[in-house]
Amino acid sequence: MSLLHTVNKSPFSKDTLLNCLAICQAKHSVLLIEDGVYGALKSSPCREQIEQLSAMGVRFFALSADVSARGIDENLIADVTLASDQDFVNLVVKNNVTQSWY
Amino acid sequence: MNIPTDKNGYLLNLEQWTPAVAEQLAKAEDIRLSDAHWEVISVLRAFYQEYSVSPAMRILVKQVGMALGTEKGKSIYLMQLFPPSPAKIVSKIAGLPRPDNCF
Amino acid sequence: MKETPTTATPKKILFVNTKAPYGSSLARDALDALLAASAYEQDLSVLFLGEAVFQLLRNQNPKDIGMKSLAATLPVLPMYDITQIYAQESALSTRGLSIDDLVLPVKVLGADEIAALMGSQGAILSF
Repeated sequence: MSLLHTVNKSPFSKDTLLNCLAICQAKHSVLLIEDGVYGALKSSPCREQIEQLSAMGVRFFALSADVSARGIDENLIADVTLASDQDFVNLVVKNNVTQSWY
Repeated sequence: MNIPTDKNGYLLNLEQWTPAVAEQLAKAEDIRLSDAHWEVISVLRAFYQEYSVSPAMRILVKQVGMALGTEKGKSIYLMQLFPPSPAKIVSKIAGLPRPDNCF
Repeated sequence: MKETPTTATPKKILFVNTKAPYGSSLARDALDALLAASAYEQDLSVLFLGEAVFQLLRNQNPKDIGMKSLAATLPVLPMYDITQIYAQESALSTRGLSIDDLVLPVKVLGADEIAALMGSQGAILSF
């Protein structure tokens, strides 16, 4: 029962990521895209939840192009893996279903 | 009597509906309204009053069946009264929006 | 009025609502899409998450903001054979709402149940 969540809002201004994390479980993947990548910052208001869920088996990704565009490559939580566009496609295909949070 | 409608013949302002307007809208569809037509129109307007939505065909059939009896709650019956597409035509004549969940 | 296409097994499709009723057109779009989808005899369910639980409140009267009441239309769902209607427990409690405040009967789900519901779908449409 694998599930991919995509999130495109910054957790500094919206609770979109928080709402997503509230129902995340082991084997789920979370892909941060667009302004959602700010959620991967070390200063992210969701950092603690991301680290806890990561330890429980939730996988976190941030879309590389969106991260680079915003100049935040060097400041990300270690549990978040950069994903290429091809990785994005693979994640969608590999998971049973995708829930997009926007 | 000149009541503004959209390009498909639906009233632009639903408040302007009167039975006389209905007669006129029906005429544009080549339908002469009888008692059988009016009771269906009443069922539809009551439904809209309650739910603020024009029902799809399947739901209209169900509602007519419940209100007017099972012989009338049939597609074929409604098709004869309001050809060729009862859900759309009754909504139009009843002064309600086009059922947008009806393709 | 086209014939409903016949398919072998109905697909499980979950409509996820996440927005309050009148701040955008998404809530209305979701409802329209749901009613339209009901014509295709698939296995439909609908979930109200976060702010979207406000869509379910009784006594909405959006006439003066030029909108149609969602609360008026939502009760048609069972008539359209859409009976799997769910709301997020924490979203209701955070907002001080109980199921008595809602315009139609919903099943209240915790986080684990929501994850399970989502995971069991063939497709999820988010609004």
